[in-house]
Amino acid sequence: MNTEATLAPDEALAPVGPDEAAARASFWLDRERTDVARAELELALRSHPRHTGLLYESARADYIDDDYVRGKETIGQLLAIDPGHASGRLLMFLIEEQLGEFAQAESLILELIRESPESAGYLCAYARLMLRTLHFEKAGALCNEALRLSPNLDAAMRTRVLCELATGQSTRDSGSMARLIVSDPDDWHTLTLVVYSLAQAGRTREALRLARDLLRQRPGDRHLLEFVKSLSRDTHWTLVPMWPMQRWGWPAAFALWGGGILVSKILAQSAPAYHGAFVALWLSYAAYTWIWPPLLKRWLARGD
Amino acid sequence: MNSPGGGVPAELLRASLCDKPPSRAPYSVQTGAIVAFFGGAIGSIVLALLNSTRLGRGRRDAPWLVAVVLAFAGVTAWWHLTATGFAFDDALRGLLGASGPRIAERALGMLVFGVAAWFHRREQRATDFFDRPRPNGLWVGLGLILFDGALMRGLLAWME
Repeated sequence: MNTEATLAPDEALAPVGPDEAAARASFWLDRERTDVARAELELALRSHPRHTGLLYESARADYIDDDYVRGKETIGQLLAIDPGHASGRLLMFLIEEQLGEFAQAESLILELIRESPESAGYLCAYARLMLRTLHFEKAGALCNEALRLSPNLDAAMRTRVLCELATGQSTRDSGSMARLIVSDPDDWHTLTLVVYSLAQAGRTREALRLARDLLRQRPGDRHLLEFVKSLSRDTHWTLVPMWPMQRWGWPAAFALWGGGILVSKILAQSAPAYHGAFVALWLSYAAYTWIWPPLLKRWLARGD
Repeated sequence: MNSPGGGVPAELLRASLCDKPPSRAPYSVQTGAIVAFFGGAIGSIVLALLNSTRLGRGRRDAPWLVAVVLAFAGVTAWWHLTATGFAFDDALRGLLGASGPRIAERALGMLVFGVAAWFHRREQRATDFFDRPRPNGLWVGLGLILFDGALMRGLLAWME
């Protein structure tokens, strides 16, 4: 039976056992339909408030909806019933990470790694935490260990690419991005990394096109939505004169600054008639680059 | 030394976050550039020190921070106390006009900013990548610009 084709939202509310309710909720959460999953869970939890599967999926719904505080409470209830629940502890790790409780998150993931030292997935999760807390060398070493244990694990390769993107390294040099794309060119997570990679390389319009395609597939993804908004701002027509800075960053800004002074001095001596106009234009451009982008951001945010 | 099972080196499984406060997001590159451009080298050095403290890499950054401070002190002393320094000052005025020395001071400030930005490049990029909230650089930036100006004036007056 093809559950994907036949499981409609209204079918989800028919009374079922707690295990099946948890499985159905998981199905909807995998598709980020938290509204349907919550309806399923609410019904089932009334009869089975201590069912660990239901509590886990409920916390997962909170995590997907960015309600980390509530998710932490729910997982706390689950772990009080079953302290060894591995998936629950991993979800607690993710929630603590989002809440900025990095030391607690680290303790949790280290426990899980010590219990399952062959798990490349746990090593990847720890690597991401180290990256987030700016421990770059350790994050890279953990990625390498994860890839040593599971060389073809997509999650490990994605974490490697994440390390490279977060620290500004080119994703071309290590070949991890290329391997990921070859391994599964349609994988949503891989394509998200491609978007970030393009944006980092200054290929903003290409990144925006791909990001919009991905957003059509998952319109509820708030993080992707914010990134699309940010890319849309960066490609706004009034920011076209900012292209050198967008493409080459601070070296371009310094070159423009230094070049402006040099040209100004040359004009002052060789073509004084144009000197005043050039200085006015150059200062106006400098003021525009500092003032307009934050104003545009606020103006567009008001329109959202 | 590897830990039993899995072969993951033991040092990778040692907690890194429990025994010290977590690193805080640094002041932005834009704040650094503005302080360098409108302030100068002293403001840039102080901002680099602030960022180094926030990132918890004071010990790692100490060698290059000390080198930058010594280099700045050396260049300033040479510029304002030696015959070749005076000649350099005159050459700047000849080439760039009366504002030549001030432009050179700003260039020095930008150089210090560039050095600090290079050493903190991964932290700055990762902070933006993970969208960590940054401290507001407005008042610190203004303060450092004013501090730089006041200190440089005092220093130059003392040298004369």
